[in-house]
Amino acid sequence: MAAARRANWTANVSEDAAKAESAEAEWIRLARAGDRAAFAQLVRQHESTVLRVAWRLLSDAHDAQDAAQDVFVRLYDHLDRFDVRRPLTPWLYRITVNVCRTHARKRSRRSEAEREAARDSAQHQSNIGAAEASDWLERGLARLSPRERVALVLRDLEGLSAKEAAKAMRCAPVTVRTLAARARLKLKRLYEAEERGLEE
Amino acid sequence: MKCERRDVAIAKLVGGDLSRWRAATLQRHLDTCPRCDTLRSDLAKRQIAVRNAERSFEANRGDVIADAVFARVDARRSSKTGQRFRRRAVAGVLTAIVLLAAVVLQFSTVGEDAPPQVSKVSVTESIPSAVLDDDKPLSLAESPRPDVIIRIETQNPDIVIYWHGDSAGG
Ligand SMILES: [Zn+2]
Repeated sequence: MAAARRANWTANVSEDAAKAESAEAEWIRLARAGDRAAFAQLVRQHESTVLRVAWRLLSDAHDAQDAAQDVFVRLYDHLDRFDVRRPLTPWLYRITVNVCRTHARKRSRRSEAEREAARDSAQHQSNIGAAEASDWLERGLARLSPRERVALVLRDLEGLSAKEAAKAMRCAPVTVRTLAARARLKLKRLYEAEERGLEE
Repeated sequence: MKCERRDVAIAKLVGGDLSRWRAATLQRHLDTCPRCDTLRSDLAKRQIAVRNAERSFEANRGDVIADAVFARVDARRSSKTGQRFRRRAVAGVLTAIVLLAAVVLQFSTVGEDAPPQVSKVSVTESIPSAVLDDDKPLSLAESPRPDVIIRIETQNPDIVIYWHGDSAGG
């Protein structure tokens, strides 16, 4: 009985996924033909994912928003080249990781004063809360190396498999597993150090 | 093997990143080592906290991003059109300058080197003055043949050309 219910649920889930994919393929076809409403639909469908990853990788709502725009401009430019039978998400993860890497490099050349101003204006415009922007995870992520950070965000926060994360990072799955493991250890140690600091 | 050297493997185990065989081997160690087992349970707790923190993120931005993307695509397109227009304008101006220069050069050449156009030609005959000074009447045979002067007026009033042919036809 339970097995039958589980089988039924699995069938429903895969049916929903298939429906979503066929809707996505249709939006891509329409967007290619110049239908902006269809493209906006694609953006709406994926913007949460792109923004969330960008924000976790850049720790800055303003930069994350810029990066998300870059990602969707690239999507717009690449519409003709997509195989509509394939899901869009893996491509979006890969481009988001790439774009964020470029933004992080650009940002490292920016002065601290500029960054401060950008943060202020972003916090003003954005509905990403200030409390979240300063949470322990944020501080932990900032301590990781760029690659450890990407691996952790994709594996543990986004829940991608090592293989999927490896595709987004353009490296081997075994590298992703090691990077994510090191990142988990660093986060744990940081959290413990903060707790010790609070107790003292 | 020292316990610290198992830390990465334990972190992999927590993330589900160990093969079944390696996980089983590690589990046998965890069953007997409180230090490593504590590390495993702490990492597992942190893992849950990370996933919960992520779930609290919600981006609800309407069409802000889509609108920004369209604005950028349109701006890029109009700047491309502008560039094309500017390129064409520059090419047009350069062509006009070259044509103008050619015309000016043509006319300045006419002014400096080429003879002005002839507007009037008149032929006059004159008797050499030396002969006229003599009071003696002249016989027909002796009568001198007059010199021929051709006066050529040009469109330029400053340039008048005289061609003087003597009686010998020189
Ligand atoms: Zn141990």
